[in-house]
Amino acid sequence: MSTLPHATVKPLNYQTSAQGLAEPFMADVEEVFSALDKIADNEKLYRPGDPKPSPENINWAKRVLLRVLPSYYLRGAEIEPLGGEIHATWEGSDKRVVAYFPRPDAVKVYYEQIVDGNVAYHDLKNVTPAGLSGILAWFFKK
Amino acid sequence: MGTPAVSIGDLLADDNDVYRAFALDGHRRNGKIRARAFYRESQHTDGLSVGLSATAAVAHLTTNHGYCSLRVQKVHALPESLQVRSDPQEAGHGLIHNVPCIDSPDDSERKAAELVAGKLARCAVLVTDKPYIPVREGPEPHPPLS
Repeated sequence: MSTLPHATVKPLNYQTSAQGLAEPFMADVEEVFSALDKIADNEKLYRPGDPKPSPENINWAKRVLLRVLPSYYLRGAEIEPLGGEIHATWEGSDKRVVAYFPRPDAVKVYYEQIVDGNVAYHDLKNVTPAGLSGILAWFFKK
Repeated sequence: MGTPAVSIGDLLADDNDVYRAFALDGHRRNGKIRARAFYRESQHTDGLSVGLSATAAVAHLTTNHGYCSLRVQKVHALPESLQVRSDPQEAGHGLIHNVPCIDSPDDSERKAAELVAGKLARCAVLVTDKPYIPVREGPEPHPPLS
């Protein structure tokens, strides 16, 4: 019986194409859902008289974001309200993605890429959770 | 009979600066101005509000999180035909006309609103990300009589 020469065994070197990913992923995901839980009560997010998102819309945003795969794509998402809508925004050095949850059953995504200070590409689409994951894969790709 | 004429204010000269207050903490992050600082909501029927001075920019806010400046020339140079005009209803106040609404039910308008907001954020210069409290002008109040 032969044994593996331990000296030749290299440590596992996990790599990802995502920008600056670092452990732990779960904390990032938790932060997003915690922000959604608190969105109606976080007064820092509102001006006087601003409408707040409905509980149904908050649940809808949670359901969609739970289906984003891999879940570490949620890293860095800013969760903010606007006029009763919920927005999740990812901002990088040259790319920006905004997912809008205007009402239950609707998800729209805007995405843009900046090259040399100018918008090289931008679009807005109605998407499914899988479609949102695809756009986030583009966002995190270097 | 026709629609009454709407006074839209004078077009500001390119060498002016106007000021946009950060009404919410999330309008700037880590020393950068976010596109959200330039979202126009449909309730703002006249346009995107700016001040002709920093004091005017924060005048109607109960709190602010700083402000940025915008050179009018940079706004007028954008291909979206934006116009920076004075507000005929209020001295010291200005409006950026032709800014699309971010909460529009029309997806093409929302897309344009996001594009324009991003461009305005890149044109703007952060002045302060701390709350700006203008110094009141005028004579000091008399000390209480003893």
